[in-house]
Amino acid sequence: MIDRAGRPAAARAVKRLVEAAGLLLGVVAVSFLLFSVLPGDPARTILGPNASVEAVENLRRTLGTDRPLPEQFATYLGRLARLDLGRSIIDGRSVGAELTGRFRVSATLGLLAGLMAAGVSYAINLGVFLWPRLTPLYHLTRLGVVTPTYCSGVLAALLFGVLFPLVPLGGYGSADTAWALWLLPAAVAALYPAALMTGVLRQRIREAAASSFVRAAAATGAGPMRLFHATLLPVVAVSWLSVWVNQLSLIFVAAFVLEVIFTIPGVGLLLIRTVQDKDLPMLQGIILVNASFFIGLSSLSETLFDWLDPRRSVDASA
Amino acid sequence: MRRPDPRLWLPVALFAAAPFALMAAGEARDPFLVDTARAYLAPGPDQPFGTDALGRDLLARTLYAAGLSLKVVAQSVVLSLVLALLLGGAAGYAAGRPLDRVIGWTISLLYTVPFIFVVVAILTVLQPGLERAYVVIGCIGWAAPARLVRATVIELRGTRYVLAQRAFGFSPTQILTTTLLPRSLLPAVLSLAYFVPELIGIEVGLSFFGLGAPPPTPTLGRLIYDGLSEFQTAWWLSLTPAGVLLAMTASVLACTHLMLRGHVAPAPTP
Repeated sequence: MIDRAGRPAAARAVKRLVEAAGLLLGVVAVSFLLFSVLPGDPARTILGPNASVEAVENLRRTLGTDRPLPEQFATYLGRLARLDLGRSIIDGRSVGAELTGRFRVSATLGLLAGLMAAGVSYAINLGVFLWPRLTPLYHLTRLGVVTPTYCSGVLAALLFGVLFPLVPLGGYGSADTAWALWLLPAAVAALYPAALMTGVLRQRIREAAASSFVRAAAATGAGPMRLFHATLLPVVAVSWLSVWVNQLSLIFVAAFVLEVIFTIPGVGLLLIRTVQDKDLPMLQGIILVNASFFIGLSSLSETLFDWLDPRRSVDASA
Repeated sequence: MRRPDPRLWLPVALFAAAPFALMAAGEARDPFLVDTARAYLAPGPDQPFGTDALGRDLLARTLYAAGLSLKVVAQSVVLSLVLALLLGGAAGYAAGRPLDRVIGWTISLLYTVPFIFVVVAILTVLQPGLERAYVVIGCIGWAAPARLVRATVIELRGTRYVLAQRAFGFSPTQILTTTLLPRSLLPAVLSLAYFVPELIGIEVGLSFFGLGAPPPTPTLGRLIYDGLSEFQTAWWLSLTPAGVLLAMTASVLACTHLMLRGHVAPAPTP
């Protein structure tokens, strides 16, 4: 496949990869600079204003912040290349090991919520398309756009954690937590993106439904079910999916908040402790892991969408 | 130049006045008054939102916190707007050149990385505080409007009247400040208006994750977070601030709709 600019799809994929690498390097540089160039000495930040000069000097040596900046950056890059994210300065745990487990929990919650959001927006739109009488259902979803996660999360936790104790507040994380218990926090995290995506999909479908090829398909006697899936969905799928990918980072942030509300041991709960303890290596690790996840995701999905939807390359070079 | 409907600015004025009104309303009931004899009172006629462990009035604390939060958001919106006009304008005028590339790269960086982490990281290192929160949020929120400003500037740069200005020897700065930026202001404001609920979310998130104003100053995030540990006994502690947050987001969105209607409704005249 060749785009307007005459570049084959493979070359565009490589270009995306280079861009992603550039962004990743940017994040690494930012997270490094954050802790070395900004006013305020990390060692002093960690130990607080009452620590002795000697203790600060010692910590500075342990952290390596007494070395010249380029040398520090080189060491930092070298460690990252070996996937070594350093150790927590509070209890010496390996940041990499701690984050792997935590991020798996958050990612499970986030992806589950993402799937729910996509499913709901598909189901509501199909429903409204098949039975126009269901349109009020669509208006109902707008409530989801208004409600902040803090509010829906607290309400859900009160209702199903305290009033009708269905989920164990504070009991998540043990290995035997039933998978069904993840559904509630995931549903709350999915509320906002589901509402937003329902609206986007509906708008796209209405735009597409006005076009002549859809009327032609209807004229051939295709039933509404077939019209929706075979004619409309392929046209709108990619732009709908790209909204979904964009929403994922918001879904993850919502998941972090819900982890705190439901006491689920993911990145969000770790973040609260990290901030309290000023555990800078851990914070660096959290930023890097999340940033690489989202940079990877966005470059992967863009490549996939380019391949799926040839219209994109035409638009991009037009 | 077509002047935007003046009604457009009414929500903006409301948004600017709300923080002060809310904080004043909170102060009128004294959010800091400790009265241990009145600890853990459930919502009732004397204390519509209940009281906390120290007997402080939760209505006063919530209103004050809501005002504070809106104030930080308003400040960061102004900062974002200024940055978006400056950087987006520069990028649009230098489209395709290195300056544009650098700015464009920064924008995509801000887009890909969930920015609450960046804000959290910066504030952890800088020591938390409200005076810093708005600077950091503002330095990150300019990305979306800047893209719009850049697109508008690129679009207008090719028009005849800009060409005429260039022929008359106007400098790029003059063209930007007299013609291009004033015309990009409205799209930038509208896109920022859409962004306000998310900025409120970030601001609340910061105090939720422990980076807001230090106690005893009440912040929405901290009120909710502190209430979580006393769910079983005092449900109102986190539910009432969460409800106020909902009301805040809802009214901001209503204002945005009002703005859009004011802007979109009159037919565009050339």
